[in-house]
Amino acid sequence: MRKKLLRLLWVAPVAMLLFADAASAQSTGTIVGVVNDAATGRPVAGALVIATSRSLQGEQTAVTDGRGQYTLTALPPGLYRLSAQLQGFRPAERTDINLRVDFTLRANIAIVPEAVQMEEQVVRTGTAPAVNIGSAEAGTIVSKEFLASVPTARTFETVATVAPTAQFDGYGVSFAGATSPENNYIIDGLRVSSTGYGLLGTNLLTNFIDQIDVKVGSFMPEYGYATAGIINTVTKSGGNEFHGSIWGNLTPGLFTPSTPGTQSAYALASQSTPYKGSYDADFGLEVGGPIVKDKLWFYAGFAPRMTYAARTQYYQQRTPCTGGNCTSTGWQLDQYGQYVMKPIAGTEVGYGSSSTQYNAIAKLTWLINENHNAFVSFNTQPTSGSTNFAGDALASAAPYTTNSTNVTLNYTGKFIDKHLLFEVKGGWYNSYSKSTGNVVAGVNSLNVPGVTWQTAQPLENFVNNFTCPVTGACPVSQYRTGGAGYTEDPTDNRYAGSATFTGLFDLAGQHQLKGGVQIDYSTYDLTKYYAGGGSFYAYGTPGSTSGTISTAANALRMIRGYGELDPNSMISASRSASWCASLTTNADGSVTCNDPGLKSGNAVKLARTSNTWSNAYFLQDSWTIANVLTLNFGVRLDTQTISTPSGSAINPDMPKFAINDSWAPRVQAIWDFTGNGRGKVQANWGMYYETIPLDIAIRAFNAEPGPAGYYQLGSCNLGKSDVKNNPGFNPLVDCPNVYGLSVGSGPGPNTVNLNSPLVSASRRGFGITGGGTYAPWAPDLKAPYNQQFGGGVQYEVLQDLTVGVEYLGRRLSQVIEDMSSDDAASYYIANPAVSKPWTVTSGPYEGQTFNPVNAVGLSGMGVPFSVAWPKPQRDYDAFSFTLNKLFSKRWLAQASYTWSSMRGNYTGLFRTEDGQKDPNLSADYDLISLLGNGNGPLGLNRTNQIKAAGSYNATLSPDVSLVPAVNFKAMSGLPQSAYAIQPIYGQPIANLIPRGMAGNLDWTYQLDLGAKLVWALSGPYTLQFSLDIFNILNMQTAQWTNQTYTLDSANPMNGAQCGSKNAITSKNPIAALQADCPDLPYARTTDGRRVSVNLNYGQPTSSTIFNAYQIPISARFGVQLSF
Amino acid sequence: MSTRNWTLGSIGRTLAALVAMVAVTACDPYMKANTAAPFVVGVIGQDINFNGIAPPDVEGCVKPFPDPNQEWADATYPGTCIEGGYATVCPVTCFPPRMGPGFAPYFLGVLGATYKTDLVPNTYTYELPALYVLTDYPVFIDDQDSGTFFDYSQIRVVFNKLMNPKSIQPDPGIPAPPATLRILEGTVDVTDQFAVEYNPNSETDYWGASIDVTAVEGLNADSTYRIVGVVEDQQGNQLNVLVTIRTVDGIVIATPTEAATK
Repeated sequence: MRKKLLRLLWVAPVAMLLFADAASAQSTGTIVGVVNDAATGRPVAGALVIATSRSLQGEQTAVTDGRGQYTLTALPPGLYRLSAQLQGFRPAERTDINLRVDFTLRANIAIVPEAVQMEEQVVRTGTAPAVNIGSAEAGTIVSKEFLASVPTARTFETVATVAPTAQFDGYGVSFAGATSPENNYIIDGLRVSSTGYGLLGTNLLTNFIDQIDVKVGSFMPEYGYATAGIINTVTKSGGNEFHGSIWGNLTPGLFTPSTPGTQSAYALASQSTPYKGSYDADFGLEVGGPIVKDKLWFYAGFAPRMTYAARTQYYQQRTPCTGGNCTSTGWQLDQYGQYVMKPIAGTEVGYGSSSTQYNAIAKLTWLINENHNAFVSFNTQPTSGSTNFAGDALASAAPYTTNSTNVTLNYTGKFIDKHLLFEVKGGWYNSYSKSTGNVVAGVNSLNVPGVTWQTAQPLENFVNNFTCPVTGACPVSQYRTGGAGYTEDPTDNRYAGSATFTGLFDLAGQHQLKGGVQIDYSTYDLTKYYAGGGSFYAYGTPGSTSGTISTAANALRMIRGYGELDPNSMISASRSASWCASLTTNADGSVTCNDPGLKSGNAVKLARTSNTWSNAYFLQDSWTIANVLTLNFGVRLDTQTISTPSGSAINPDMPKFAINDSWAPRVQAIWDFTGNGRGKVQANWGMYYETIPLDIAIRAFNAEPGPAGYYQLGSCNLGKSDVKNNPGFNPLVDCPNVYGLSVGSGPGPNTVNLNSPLVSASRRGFGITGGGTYAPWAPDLKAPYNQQFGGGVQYEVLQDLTVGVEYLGRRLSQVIEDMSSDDAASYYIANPAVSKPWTVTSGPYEGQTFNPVNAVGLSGMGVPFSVAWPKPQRDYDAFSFTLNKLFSKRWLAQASYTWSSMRGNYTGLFRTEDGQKDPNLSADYDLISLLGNGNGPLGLNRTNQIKAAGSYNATLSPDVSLVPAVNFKAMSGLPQSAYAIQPIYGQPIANLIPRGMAGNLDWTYQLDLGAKLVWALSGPYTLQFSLDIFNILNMQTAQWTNQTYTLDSANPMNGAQCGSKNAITSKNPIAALQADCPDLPYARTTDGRRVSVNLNYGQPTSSTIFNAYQIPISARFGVQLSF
Repeated sequence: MSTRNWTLGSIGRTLAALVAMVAVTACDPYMKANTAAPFVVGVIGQDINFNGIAPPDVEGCVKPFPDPNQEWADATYPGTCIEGGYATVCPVTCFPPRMGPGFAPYFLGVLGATYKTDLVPNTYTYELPALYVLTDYPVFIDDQDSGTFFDYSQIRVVFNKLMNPKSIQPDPGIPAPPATLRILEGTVDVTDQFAVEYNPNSETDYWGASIDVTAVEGLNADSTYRIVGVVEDQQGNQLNVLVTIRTVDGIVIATPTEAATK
């Protein structure tokens, strides 16, 4: 008997490696069906239907009604067995019903009268249903069997990319073209999206996961807080038997090659060198079982994880011209126009990033009685680590600590003979990150400004005891000295609760009427280190002590990334008052600020707090007619109020930011054309509102100073030796003419000569952005929303094997953005092209009129203009073909092909162009002059996606089995653009040619292979050895390129007809793009000069969110002892 | 720093090539050519020092201004005039907002332009002139008060769309026009004294390309310059260009004796 049991277990060894007894009282499924008389085909009333499962505490029962119908609700996901009993009939049953999270399965049962002569004592009905006939939402389920056998990342988030249309977008998982902050992330029913940005706040190890319900979209009103997808994760639970495992995994860098160094014409270079000591290791244990059988289960796990990512910094030099293609200054270029760079021996220095994380999880599941159950879930992840950078000492390390902790309580009760369900839950989500600073020679890197030396100059200017082998061959650009620069420490808290009722009744069919309220109070507190008032970009040469600086090339530019303003825009009483409490205008036109708080010689530590109530109310009905047609319809009302208690100048017009009218109707229709739950035709439409992350409260409503300006560098107390020997160089101290606008106090005059001729008038600037007080918002402001619609067909062609075809459409209908109708002199919050113009009636903006429909004003560049703000557009259309095989008969598989198109002018809650992550506050609508050439294929537009993953269990002997697995993805490349420096912001974000017109990157292919060898030891023990090889193709395809066509300031070439298909991937991207774009060779700067082409254009480079190259091959070794 | 090669990688690339053979690559059509007829949107006198601000009022500048003034704008576009707009050589304090491609252009460092209106009530339509004539065009303004020197040696002829670069500047590396585009001073061809460049970059999407005509040695005062010729757009539509600039002496604004206060 024991051997037989073991043999049975080996039939499904993958499942055995895990806890099959997972349960979640919150994330559950439903089984419906009809019990028929097999002899007559007529429905049978009064039959008792019993559901049992290893996932279920006890059993759940239902009695068929007059039409033979039964409904079993609130079932935890798992493998179910249904039995039907009625006096006068033989018992009947259905087995192997694989119920997944939030699924509704139809399992009809035929029972045979005892009078009928047959050999079987128990009647078994055929193929188990696998199609979710209760919903038309798009998505997929990642099962624990999938997680256990298919090679995936150690944490669950990126596993969700197995879903059709999903891809990694740099910050998380993108669904149907939307950005990841638009998702809602749920663990055990608790929303764990970060309160500041909306990104995933807790990423658990897959060992602790039971199922991941990946909703791509089109979900019903009970789900919200998302305009994109939902990753609904259910952790494991205990069971009636003790199970557990001890494991260890190691991904050594030894087997991973380096990635190519990013192409650079400069001397400082670095590259990832994993084989020099990188590792990713975790080990842990988990155990679960009964405290009281069928009553109280426990589950607990603990797993430390350590990582180190090794990089190597080295110096390289240009090669003197020996003929052929050379620069005018005598340096050798290769055949593609790139500098020929040679590494300088002996200059290699290793550095890297490390982290240590302790993962802990615990869960208690309590069945009070058949109709009442509850659970409590807890997890935490304290982490410490450091991120290092290439460059000087103080800038080279940024130690930090982080943690996220979640606690969830859940109660589910069934009343009125199980016709009324009531569920209450509450939870707390907490997350924080804290910078500790790197102390060198007693100086903390958080207390010293970071300086980026923008202009190319010899490396010798920065590095002691370094001599370039060839004079002038070692220039560096954007070299970093000083401290960490801008750093921020966020703290998230969320207190969430909900109450939901579900009523089951008959009225011209079966109804499941569900309603509820969801309460969400979130806080986002942020401490920001401006390290001296901002990050400085120096255009000058260290050591330059020349007197008056007359050209911008020698100016020290202080910018925090938001822009520099024309001084003239500041010469107004209202604007001046917004950043300086006491300002007088002198006879010579200069302006003196008498506010002593506006200059600081030390790091500025600015603490801000914010909070939001995001409550929702929903009512929906699922109406099933004749057991084949289901109509789902309902509405959700989202409300949101944002407060900024720390803000010193909340909008006096409207003390609270509140949007309380986000009504979202949604409808679905599902036709089970098989009548037995094995196929469906479906269609859906709905509106989906965004819950605004609190970053906007910190940045736009919270008196955030935004210093920016140009200063003369020549008078700084700064020399070559200062930079090399005094990495604590502080522009605010060492440059007497630098008058930073910051919070704090410090010495020095506070005179800002706005009309000083020291620098070219067109180059000087001083002002604040982002709302030195706050950004006013439109009185008629509405929440962002999109419309989702689609339809498709699914059919279970074989048992547990479903194929389908589906169309998904997404239309962005409304967004919230910060806007400026005067090119950065002032900002306001509105629905672009929708909000009506309004005039501020009080406060620092009193009397100002803002027009989000037509910008009529005077730009900061001195240009009067009038332009209609364009409507935000993100049109996404996709067709997906899917195949899904649940784990049974030793194998499982998930595969899909998706063709999609995404066009528009708005990427979402972050900008893919430059990685700017400021939800509803991006640069997209900031400036009129940024609108040009904004339409085109959007940054996450991947036309083709092919995905295939699966595993097969091969029995080698009665005690040994082998589980090979594969995970393959092929995706067409992302569209690339050509940018110039936007003259006001000073960043390469002006579309020279229409968005995405430089061609698409090459396809990327990722093939991961895995194998697990499993031995049955004595007793309940099994031992598993695993090897997963990731990216075995090791193609290291370029994933992102340098898209800065010129570092000169230039306006767009509006209307350029240059849709290049392959310029960006050609050997010489510059020449190819110029050939495809007839205007490009003539491109001019804003002051009429020919632009200087960035020779690194089109070369692979890392951005804020994308690596330059696909990650290389790596191998993970694992061992696991299970019982 | 070389990248290690891996045998597995080669195998992988072979596999990938096979996958690519069966992969479907869809077309990405999204661009439509701008088939609108080309026309001149406006003509700008450009300060080649790019001071970024407009010159101050000039003493003695009296009506009729070569540009629309506040009164004109109030009458033409009631309620939409922007107060506090920049002055041109004559103290025009208001520009009409430019509401569409057919409306009056804006001017950076403006010296003035000429155009005429044909107001249709409530529609703000605007008829562009067949000919552009800049009159009383000072070759410089020396604002000694602020220490700013405005050198108006460049004329920009702005089109509504991108043009065929070859019809304006055949070689992107040589700032010279084809024989079909000439610069005349009086009746003398002085093209070789000018840098003539095709400029595809534009400040707003209502604008297209421009011809940037820059006097290498500066413009002569009290002269009449003409930019004349035939250009074409990228769809082959030809357009006659005739711009006239009548220059006057440069203007010197002396330092005021009394300090200004605001």
